[in-house]
Amino acid sequence: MTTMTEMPTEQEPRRPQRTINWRGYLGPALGALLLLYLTVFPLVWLLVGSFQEQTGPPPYPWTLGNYAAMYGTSSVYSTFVSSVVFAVGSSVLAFAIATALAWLVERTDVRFRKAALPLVIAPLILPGVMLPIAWIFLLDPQAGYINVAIQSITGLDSGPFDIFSMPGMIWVQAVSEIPLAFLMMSAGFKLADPSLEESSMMTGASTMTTLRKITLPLVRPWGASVLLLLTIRSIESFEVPSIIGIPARVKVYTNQIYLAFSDSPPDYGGASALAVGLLVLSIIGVWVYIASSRDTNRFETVSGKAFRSRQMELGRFRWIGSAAMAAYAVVVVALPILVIAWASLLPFFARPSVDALDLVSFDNYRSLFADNVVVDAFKNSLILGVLTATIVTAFTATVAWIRHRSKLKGARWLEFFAMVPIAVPGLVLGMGLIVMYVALPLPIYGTIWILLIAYVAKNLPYGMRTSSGSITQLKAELEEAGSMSGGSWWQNFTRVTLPLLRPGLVAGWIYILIVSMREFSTSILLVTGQSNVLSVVVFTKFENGQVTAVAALGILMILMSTVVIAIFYRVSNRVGIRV
Amino acid sequence: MNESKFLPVARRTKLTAVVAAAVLLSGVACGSRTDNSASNAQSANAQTMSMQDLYAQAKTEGTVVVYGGGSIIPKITPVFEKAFPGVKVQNVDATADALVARAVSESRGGKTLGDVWQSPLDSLVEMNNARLLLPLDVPEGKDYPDDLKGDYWLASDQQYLTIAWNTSLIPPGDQPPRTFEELADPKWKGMLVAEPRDFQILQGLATHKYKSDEKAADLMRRIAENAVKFHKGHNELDQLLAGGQSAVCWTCYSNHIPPLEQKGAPLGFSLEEGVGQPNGSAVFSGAQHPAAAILFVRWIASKEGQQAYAESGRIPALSSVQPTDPTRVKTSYTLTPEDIANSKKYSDQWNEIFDLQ
Repeated sequence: MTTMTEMPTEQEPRRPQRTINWRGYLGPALGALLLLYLTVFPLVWLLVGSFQEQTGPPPYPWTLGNYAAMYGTSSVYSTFVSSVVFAVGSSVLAFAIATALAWLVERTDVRFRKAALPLVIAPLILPGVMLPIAWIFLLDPQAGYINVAIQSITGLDSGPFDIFSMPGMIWVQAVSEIPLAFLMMSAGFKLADPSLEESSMMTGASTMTTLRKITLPLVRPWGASVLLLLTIRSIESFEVPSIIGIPARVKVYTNQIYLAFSDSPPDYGGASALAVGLLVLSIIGVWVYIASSRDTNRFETVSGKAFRSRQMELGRFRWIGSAAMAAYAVVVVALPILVIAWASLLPFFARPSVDALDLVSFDNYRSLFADNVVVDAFKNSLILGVLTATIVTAFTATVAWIRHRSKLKGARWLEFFAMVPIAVPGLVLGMGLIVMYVALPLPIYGTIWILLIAYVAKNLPYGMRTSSGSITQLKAELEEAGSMSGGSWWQNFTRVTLPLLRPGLVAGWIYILIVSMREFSTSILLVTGQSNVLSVVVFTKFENGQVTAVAALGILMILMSTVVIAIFYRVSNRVGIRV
Repeated sequence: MNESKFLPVARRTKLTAVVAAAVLLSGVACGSRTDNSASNAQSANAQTMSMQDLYAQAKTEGTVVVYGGGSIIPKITPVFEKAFPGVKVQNVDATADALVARAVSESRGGKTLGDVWQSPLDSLVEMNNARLLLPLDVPEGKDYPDDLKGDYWLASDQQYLTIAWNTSLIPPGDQPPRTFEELADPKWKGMLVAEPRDFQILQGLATHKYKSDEKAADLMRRIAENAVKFHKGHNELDQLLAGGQSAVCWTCYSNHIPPLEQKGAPLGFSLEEGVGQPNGSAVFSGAQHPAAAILFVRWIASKEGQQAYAESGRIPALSSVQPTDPTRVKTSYTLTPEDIANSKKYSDQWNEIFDLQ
């Protein structure tokens, strides 16, 4: 007779065994390797350079002098404070406005919803130098068009707005970041199941209460990811601090880096030492984000239950929402674009007046169409943009999978490595790539392929954030269901995971496409006459004094991109892709 | 469990990747240096050949790769290619600092891809300090004064920083400032703009006008009291001036203004005095097309080349060739390579006086 002293050992409740074949993990493994290859090299290059005295010819002696010089002065702390104020101010402002817009468009029945995406994105497409200049022409304290209009009504001497100030810088930077934040937050709202909000409304909560207590908390991890991205972008941004910060006498990090490069003799080592500081700031930001998003299970809303986004009715507040959107469209989008459109019809940036009408012509547009250099560069930029966006999105999706779904120890470090390129200055990255590829017998250097390598490396952080953020909204049960039905890793990934991530991935894809077409600081080092890109052609024209031709090019780019995005949305709706 | 088999593989692969990257990095950082002696011997020879022979040799090379030029190269290329059919010009251009960074990095990577270097004098000096240029002594150089040539460079054109203004913004009854001294007058307070990197003005006045650092610095301090606003980029300054957003620019290139005036901009500028540095040509050490490189440099220095520069809107270095618009200043304070070597103390002083860094 069996006694009960020997209890059969309880089987641990077993999770469904995946059919684990290590070959099936080849995709993620390759992805991780490629990530490290693209990011470890610039990181090592940056760190090594920061410890070298690079003001003379090679060989470069080792030194701690760069750090002493760059961080030993008292002014570096005021620079640090200014950089943080600028970054936090602009990213919070951009985030707040973008989230409000995204909520209105995705979750309510506000008017003008359909026009929102092309409208909000339009300023993003302009060449980077044009938007700050347009705002100078609008808000210069003495002669800015808006100020002059207000002065003539109220009788003031100057102002009321002064763009050459920290608030002015924050405004222009925020305005350039809202398109990205809007793209991302729209995707975040799309990924969130509205049934929780519906339950809230059914139990009698008002729209505002639901917004506060359900909707916003639900998109918190996604939103935190976006906010992190915006802050880091502002810290490492270059155009606004240069075009507006220098006249405003606001000194931020990136200006110091630029000054080191253009010093006489150029101080590459010093610039690298400064950039390491940026890297540390970025890593701190990522660390804070990771620490604060530990408990993300609560936010997984994409589950086995199907859902369709539903619009909440705003009722009597509908007109406020619609007015807010209209105000945004006019002030933030239409005004600067009108300034640029006006300039595009002129031989120089003449003030609007009856006399100036004599100067109006389509000469700038005519010359652009006839210019082979522009057409070729545009083709190259478009090809590079599409390739970069596709490669980065596909590849960071795999890496995000490793990071969030696999049990690999140290997978968290992939998140850090993916952020490295954001802090490596474009010139430093370019120099590293030149040294690495110039002597290779493969036809990479001097062609668009080296540009592709550079663009992929630079866009990894953005791809990583959208892929990572998307996957945290996904309940694992869907993928587990897939593998329980016998799917391999690859089948599961391509037929279950990726389609569920679609809104987030599409947002990231569009963003990377546009940002790649604008990339300048690394491209300038790597282009040749045969492999030129749009941003460098823009720069050349600008340096040539053809500033208003650049304005015309900007308008053309907006028109073309609006058409492309509209076609994209029409096609995807037809094919039933919910984007 | 299958998963535990997977972990060590992943860890090993990651480690291998990092080690491989480090090895690759150290490998390429000490890249093999190509031997430049053959190319340089050819360049030395080409410098004294007749233009006919030189052209014949350049034709066999077929291409000349020009680094720099700042938008002038596309304009003079058709003229050169017409004069020398069979030799094509390829241009690689960027901002001065990016171009130097590119040339330095290519050299570190073990290759020389440029043939001719064309830039303002300060970048020429940096390229020479990086030991990337060849000694240059061509027959065409004898027509140039000593301050427009050197061991490794020959001036191609001049650029002067001078004072420009928007005529509709000068208070009625006032005369616009025509010399740097006049900028210190308090009546210009709040009306002045400048480029933050143009410390050459301080250096040029100190070294060549006043022959006294203190006097030049004192003038700058008095100008600073007029609350100068700084904008990066000479072209942006031109547009702000033309568009009426700024009144007086005292670091504007004289040859930028006439084209804008001809388009209808209400601008004026001073030809009384200006600080300048020459733009010049040099040849890369180890150039892949040495004969074509020398041909290009000698052509630029010749009367025909200088004429092409004039017709493209530049101020030719050769004084016997006139620019198409009157843009040569009456008194110029032109910087020399010795000045460039000495520039750090002036850039530091400029940054300190105008609180720029």
